[in-house]
Amino acid sequence: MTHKMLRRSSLRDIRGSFSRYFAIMAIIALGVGFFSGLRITTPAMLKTVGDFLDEKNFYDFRLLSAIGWEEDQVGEMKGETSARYVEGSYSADAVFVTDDGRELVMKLHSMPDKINGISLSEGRLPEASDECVADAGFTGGVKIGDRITVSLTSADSDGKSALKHREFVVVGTADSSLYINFERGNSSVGSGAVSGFIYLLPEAFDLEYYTEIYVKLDTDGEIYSDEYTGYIDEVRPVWEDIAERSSGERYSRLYGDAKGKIDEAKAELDEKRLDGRRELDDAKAELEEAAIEIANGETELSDAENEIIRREKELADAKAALDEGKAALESSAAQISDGENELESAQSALDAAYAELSAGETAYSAVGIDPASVPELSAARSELARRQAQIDAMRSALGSAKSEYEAGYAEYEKNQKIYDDGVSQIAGAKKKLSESAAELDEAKRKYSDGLAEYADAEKEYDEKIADAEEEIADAEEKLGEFSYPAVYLLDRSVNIGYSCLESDSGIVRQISRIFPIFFIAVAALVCMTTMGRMVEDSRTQIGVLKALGYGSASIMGKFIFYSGSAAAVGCVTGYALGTWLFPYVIWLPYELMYIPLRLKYVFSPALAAISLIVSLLCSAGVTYLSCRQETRETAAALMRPKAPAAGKRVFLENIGFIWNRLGFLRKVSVRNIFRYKKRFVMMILGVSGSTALLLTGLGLRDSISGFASMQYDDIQIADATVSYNPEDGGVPHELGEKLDELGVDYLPMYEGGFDLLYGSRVKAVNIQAPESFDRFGDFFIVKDEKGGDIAFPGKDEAIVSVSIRDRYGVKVGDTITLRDSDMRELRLKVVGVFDNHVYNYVFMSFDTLKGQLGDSELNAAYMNYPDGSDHSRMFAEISEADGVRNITQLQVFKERVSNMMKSLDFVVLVVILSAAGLAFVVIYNLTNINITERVREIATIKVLGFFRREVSSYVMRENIVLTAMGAALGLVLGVFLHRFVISQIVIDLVSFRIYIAPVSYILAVILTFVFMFLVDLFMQIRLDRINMAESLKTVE
Amino acid sequence: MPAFVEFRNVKKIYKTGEVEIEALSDVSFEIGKGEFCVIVGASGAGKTTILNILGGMDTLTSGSVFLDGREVSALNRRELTAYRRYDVGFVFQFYNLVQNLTARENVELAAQICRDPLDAAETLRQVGLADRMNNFPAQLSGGEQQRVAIARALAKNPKLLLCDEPTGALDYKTGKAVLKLLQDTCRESGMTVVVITHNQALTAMADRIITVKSGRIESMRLNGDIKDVESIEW
Repeated sequence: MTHKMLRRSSLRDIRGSFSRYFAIMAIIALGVGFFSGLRITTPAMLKTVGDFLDEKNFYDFRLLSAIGWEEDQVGEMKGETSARYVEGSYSADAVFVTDDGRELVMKLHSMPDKINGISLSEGRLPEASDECVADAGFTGGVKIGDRITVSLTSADSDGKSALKHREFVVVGTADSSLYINFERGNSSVGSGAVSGFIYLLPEAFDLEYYTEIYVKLDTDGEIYSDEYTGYIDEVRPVWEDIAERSSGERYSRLYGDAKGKIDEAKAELDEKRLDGRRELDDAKAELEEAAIEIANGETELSDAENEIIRREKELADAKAALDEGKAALESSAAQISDGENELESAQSALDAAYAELSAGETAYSAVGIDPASVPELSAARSELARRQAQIDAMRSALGSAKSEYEAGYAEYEKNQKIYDDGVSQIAGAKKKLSESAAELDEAKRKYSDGLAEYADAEKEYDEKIADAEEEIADAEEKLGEFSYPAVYLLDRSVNIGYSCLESDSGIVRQISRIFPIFFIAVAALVCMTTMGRMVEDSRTQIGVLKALGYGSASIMGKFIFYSGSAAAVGCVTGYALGTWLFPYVIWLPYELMYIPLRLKYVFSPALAAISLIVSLLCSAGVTYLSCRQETRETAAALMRPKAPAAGKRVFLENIGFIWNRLGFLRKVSVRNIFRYKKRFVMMILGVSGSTALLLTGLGLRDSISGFASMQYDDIQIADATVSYNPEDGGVPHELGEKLDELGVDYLPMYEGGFDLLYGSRVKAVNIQAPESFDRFGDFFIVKDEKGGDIAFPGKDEAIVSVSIRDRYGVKVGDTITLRDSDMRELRLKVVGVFDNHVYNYVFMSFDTLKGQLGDSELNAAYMNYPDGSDHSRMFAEISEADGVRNITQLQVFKERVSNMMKSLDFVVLVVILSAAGLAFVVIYNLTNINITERVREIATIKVLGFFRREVSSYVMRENIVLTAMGAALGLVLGVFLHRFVISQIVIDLVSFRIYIAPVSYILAVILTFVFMFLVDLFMQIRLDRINMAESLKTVE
Repeated sequence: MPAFVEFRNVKKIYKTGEVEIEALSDVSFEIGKGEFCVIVGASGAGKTTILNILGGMDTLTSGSVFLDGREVSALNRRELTAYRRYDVGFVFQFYNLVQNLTARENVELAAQICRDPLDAAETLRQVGLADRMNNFPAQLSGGEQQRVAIARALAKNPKLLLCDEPTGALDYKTGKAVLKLLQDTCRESGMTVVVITHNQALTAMADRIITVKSGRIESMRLNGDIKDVESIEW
């Protein structure tokens, strides 16, 4: 547009007809907003999660081997060119018991280094091996500071052997890239329902090998992109080889080690056998020696006894001789002492005689007589001397007798001592003898002990040898069974969160394919009618410009600028608002199911360009088409008024009985409705679109809120389920008694989580295998979607829920493969599909399950409480029974599920608001055009004296009729749209039913009319502004 | 006899933003009942403003307007509508027929909302369109359309018939026929007819001639020499 005046005129046109300009802007903004907003939502969601996964180095390959992996193998793999990071990791499942006694099944992981990072939400990371970080999205209600204990009662908890500690302190909570949505998978331990994950330091694991290896490849391909999957497919064979080879090496090494150990054990056994034998023999020889010694000792002992007896006898003889000698000695001593006494008295007498003699002699001497001269005296003297000699002789005899006695006494004493010695010798010998006897007894006891010991030792030896032999045989047998291990190279698609995101985000992608086209079509139509009208209005102006010599191009440019600029502004506004609002609102409910991440804004230049091109096509392109015809006409023709569209009779007029009953104001409306085909089509389209959207939105809510009651009131009608630790492969005794006592009707079954393999992916499904199907109908009504009966599955057969058929392409007649966490597989022929809305169920008979897996137990039961009983009391009573793991009250569950689904109300609100916007713009625009086109007519009827209300009803009646028609069509469209949308909304574990409540139909229609009346209120102002003088103006 | 229509010192100022345009400055005139009055003036003289005010389509700035003793200028919006509805019939330069209604329906459109309407078919017969009754406007010639418009105005049985350049879009001959119809209607039914035109020639057929110039009444006179339409030439 090079001409200044034209430009000015264009700008004035915009100012002068802002409502028209705004209408184009608004519809384009709405169309583009809806289109770009929905289109960008999936990429934005994927980018948000994708960036998180990139940041956390989410794995590309997960290597699993039945025999685990070694540090060295991790090191080797790191050398691989396509690997960025390789990390060995420990994982295990374990049943934990909380302080308040609840049992929780947990997935245990070692703290990652780089791959599969976690993001701490609260607290800190573990620093000691008895600390752990728990699931932030944890359902078990474990808080920081809590202690959790590995359950020892759960026999099948492999975690308790894999861990160094039994008790762990929760020091933090985190989100993990391995669990991006709420699903935590299944476990073969405990109740099988995993409550959450736990991260521990690698040191906390008491394992000699890594349970898995994670590989992050050297690629930054966008998640789910063809580029990424292409790359994965490219390197997969390489890694499969690596995995096989590494596992093979480890296998050979383990096999070799085991074989070596067995051989060693065998050699050791042989050695031990010999050593042991020798030792036994030695012991035996020693025992025999001891027996001989004991015999010798006994002989010696009896000899010694005899000797003592003999010596005693000798001593007794000696004693008798001694006593005799003593008596002789004593008598001689007495004789000696008598002799001495006699001697003494003789001596004394002699001495006295001597004294008398001496006295006499003295006297004689004195008298001078020589005494010697006195005979008497000499006689006396000689007498005395004779007597003295007698005494001396006696004395000498006595002296010899005395010395004789003394010699005898010495002899006696000597003999006495000898005797005493003999006595004490005998006593010593006797003592010795008794000691020897005791010693001998001891030796005898020892000997018999030795004998017993020997017998024991021999027995033990035999046993030990036998045991060792058996052990070796066992080990050899095991080694024989130790076959080449299964190796799995798993990619991201087996990660439930990753897998779910793809399908979940796909919902929006599906919706974004359908809805926006609708909006764009309406936008194009709105632009077309608006611009067509504008061009028509400007005929004269175009004619004048042509007459003045402006070329068609510049004239056309004016209109194209008008609509194009409106569209461009609308497009930018719409794009900015749409790409921000839609992803944001749609992400809200997802955020509840996935880990909390802030949604990333994604700007897509391509999408922006497409939006702009489409808006320009819708506006400028359409304008071009409208203009082309006008600009082709001659200036003169243009300046002549264009004949108004001729009135025509409509079909309805042929139906006399209706037509004749209409007041002709109504007839005018009827004719007007059909007068402008384009507008009619647009209005019907726009309004029906809005109604359809409204109905879809409301219906969505019905479907969502209704499925839970349908599920738990009409399908899964049991009151509760209980899971327990099986006793003898079935219901624990105490629980059974309790249930009977309470009058609870129950049906034991196996319940567990398996992975359904479909294509190259897996999907967690719930298996229920009742003991018998006879009474199953009391707990779960198995019907097909149309309410028809289904035969229960027979041997190696299964029936699956509708969701499994719809989502994973499983058909009746197919054979499905289910795998548990121990990689055991079930292969079942699908013989029926039953209606079900919550969870993906597969039903089979318990016999089938047991037959295929070998060792299954009935671990759960459906329960129906007696009529009129208090459910929570029942719950409390049954919980107390031993062996009960968990009770699920289905009515409580129903409410919980319903609540969860409330998050989808946001989406419903978006749809309703969009519908409102659409309805408003369409009705507004069309009414606007309608009024603009008929200003003259309206002015005329005003002049004719129509009251205000009559004027508006004259105009608005058409709106009402068109809205009614549009709404009616919209209801039909809405039913289909709703059906389509429901079929596209795949929220995991839940499938909605196609159901729209009657009130929603009514509400959709009412809302459509409300929008129409709102527009009419706006338009009333315009009607009021119409100047009656318009009727006098010349026709332009 | 009091005047049937009376303008007393009527002033009308249009305000568009800051600009004030005095369309009528002190206009006073009278028209008697049953008269055929022609208001004549050049383009922009203010005759359309007079028509708008008289027809109850516009309000005045000062002064007062009476019709049949009732002060039209004192009516509120709703009363004005009622006034248009019951008391005034309009004939527009461009007929302003509702394209979607047949000739008869166009007449009925007006007749339906009146208290005492004439029979639509009868009125159309009067204007000579007995056999075109069921045609749509697009199927009628300009003159025929204008007749329908007149019939529509007449069927309301108004007190006053207001015609804005009724021949403006018609060829000479047809224009004459329409004027004749208006004159005959006036004569035969005693209807007060006001024709607004820039065509001086039409004044010859009027009972009363009011000349407007620059928002004022230049002259108002009774025609002493009323001519038949046929004898007027322009």
